[in-house]
Amino acid sequence: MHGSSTPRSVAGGFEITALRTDVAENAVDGRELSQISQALDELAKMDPPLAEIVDLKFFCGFSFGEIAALHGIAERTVQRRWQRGRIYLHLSIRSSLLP
Amino acid sequence: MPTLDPNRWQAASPYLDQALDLPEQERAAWLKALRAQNPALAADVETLLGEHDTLSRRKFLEDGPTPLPPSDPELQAGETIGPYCLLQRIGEGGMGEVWLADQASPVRRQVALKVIKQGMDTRQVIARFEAERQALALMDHPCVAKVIEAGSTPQGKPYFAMEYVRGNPITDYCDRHRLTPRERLELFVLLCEGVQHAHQKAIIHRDLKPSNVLVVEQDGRLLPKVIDFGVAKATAQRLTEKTMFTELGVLIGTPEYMSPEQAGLTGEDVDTRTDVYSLGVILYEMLVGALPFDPKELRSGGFEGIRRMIREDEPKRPSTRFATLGERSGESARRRRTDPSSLLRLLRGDLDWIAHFTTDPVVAGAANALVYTLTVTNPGPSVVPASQAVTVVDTLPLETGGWMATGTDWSCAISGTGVSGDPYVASCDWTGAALGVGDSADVLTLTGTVDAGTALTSMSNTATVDTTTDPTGPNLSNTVMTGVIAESELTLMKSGPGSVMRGVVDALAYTLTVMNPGPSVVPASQTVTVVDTLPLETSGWMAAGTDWSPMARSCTYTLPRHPSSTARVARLPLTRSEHMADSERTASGCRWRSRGGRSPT
Repeated sequence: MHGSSTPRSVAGGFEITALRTDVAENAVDGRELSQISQALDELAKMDPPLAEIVDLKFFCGFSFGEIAALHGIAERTVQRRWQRGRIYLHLSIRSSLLP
Repeated sequence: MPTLDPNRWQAASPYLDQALDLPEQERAAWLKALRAQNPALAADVETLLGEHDTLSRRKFLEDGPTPLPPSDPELQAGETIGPYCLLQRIGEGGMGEVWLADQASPVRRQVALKVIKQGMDTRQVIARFEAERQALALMDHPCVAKVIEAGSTPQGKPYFAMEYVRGNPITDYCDRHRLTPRERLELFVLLCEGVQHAHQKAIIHRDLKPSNVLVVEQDGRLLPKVIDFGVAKATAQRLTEKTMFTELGVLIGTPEYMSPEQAGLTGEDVDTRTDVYSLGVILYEMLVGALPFDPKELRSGGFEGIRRMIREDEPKRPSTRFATLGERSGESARRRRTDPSSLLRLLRGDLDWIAHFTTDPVVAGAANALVYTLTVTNPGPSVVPASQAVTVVDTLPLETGGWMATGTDWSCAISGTGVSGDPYVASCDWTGAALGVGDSADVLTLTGTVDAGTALTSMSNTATVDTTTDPTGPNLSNTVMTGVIAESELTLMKSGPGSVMRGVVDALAYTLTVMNPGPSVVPASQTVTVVDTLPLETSGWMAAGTDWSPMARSCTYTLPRHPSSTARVARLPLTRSEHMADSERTASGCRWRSRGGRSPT
């Protein structure tokens, strides 16, 4: 599939060879997408790093490895944050009681 | 955790992180231990973990391979779409097809129908268009083609109906009719006026390029007409490899005219400067006969290479570019009814600094005009909000007729005329030094607050620090303390070079800064004054060697002419990692919806 190539690590640095952009396009419909987008804004106010990771992963198609390299943090940390952000977003979308 | 109470979310977050790190079979025991300590917290964490498990199973936000719907059959002549009957296909591009169509009602006329290809959310496209429709309808300018409506075809593709313009792309037209540089400039000024009209209605085109500027001959005069207003915004997508290349790796965008901010990750964070940048590229091409970046070279780098080049590389000056065209320079000159050396002289003499501002001492005088132009083009608020503090720095020697103690409030003392006619713009921190009688300081830090209701346009461009008062200083009312250029100079500038140049100067002010991104780190030998021509909140002195990248992106940094410094304008280059570091920007960045551009002041 187009854009699905995996990032290639290069010696002494990091290079992004492709962006996966089919993720957001395929996974959810437009309405849900805009809800997620809104919830992400809310999350960004409360916990910017979390929102950023979801943004990069989901909307921009970066892999955990790429995000980890960009920020110089462990991939596992990125993944954990993403999992947490995902929980938040889902609850937000479900709940009509957004803070 | 039925609602998303921020406090509870924050409290649960670290525990959630811990739990997520545990192997699944250990979570129960871990939760039990937590429950013993804090039952409420444990309950929240448990709920969230349950949510996590559900989402993992559902692969929520992970990439789900949902196949795209099959593509639609081709459109056919004779087909009816809404009130339009398709006559003839007149164009095809990466975005879709353009058809000449007959509109039967309410008026019978021919329109251009742009049908967007499969792959966009039609509702979203139409909704975005509708959001701007009111503003689009307000546009009424001979150089702007009218946009009629947006709708969807029976197959569900979005389409735009607009005034049909029978003309040729502006660069083609100029070359084909061998317009002289002056004729080209005159045409370009008209184009600027059309774009300005749109900007005044708070509409940004976002996709200006020669194929969107068609030249028609109307009543014996040439008229550039900008088409596709509103289309780019409605169909805006993030700039991604996918939006730029087809599956076969064919480039579908036109990166040559793309502004650095559009080449950023967001692709959304644009304002009127984006259009002006594109105008600058068009002018460059019209004058030189080549683009600032060689298309082959630009495209050879692939997606990342294109983005990097647009955002970081400094294009050659028009004259340099022309001089290195080789054999093509003769052809280029011939198409402008001149010869290579004359064209080179013209570019060098008058137009280089407009299309590309540099540190070249020959064009140092342009610094003044440029600083001024930037301000005029982008005047900012004419009245400073009451809450906003404005700071000023004078980089020129100040006359001091008295003395001021350390810590004196300078804001009371700024008035009078300047030492030289040079404009100065600046701002920085109070140095804290005491000044004695007769002292002069090259750099003074003056900080003050602008009174609400003070018009910035009335500011003086020069100032003398009057230190004759008592050291403790009567604190006069707050004074406006910045100015870019005097009114008289403004008038001179406006009336001097003639309307053609004026239009170009105005239009290109932005382009100059954008095209010449400047160093991200100021050389150690150079002292730099930073000026923000946008809302005046990030002004400050930057020490030699300062890395200015952390500064706000929208700032323009100007080094005013100073006896000891080379004038130069630099736009802050924003690299990818800096962009990432700016969490707020990023959080609102890579998103699908379009954000409205900043409306021109």
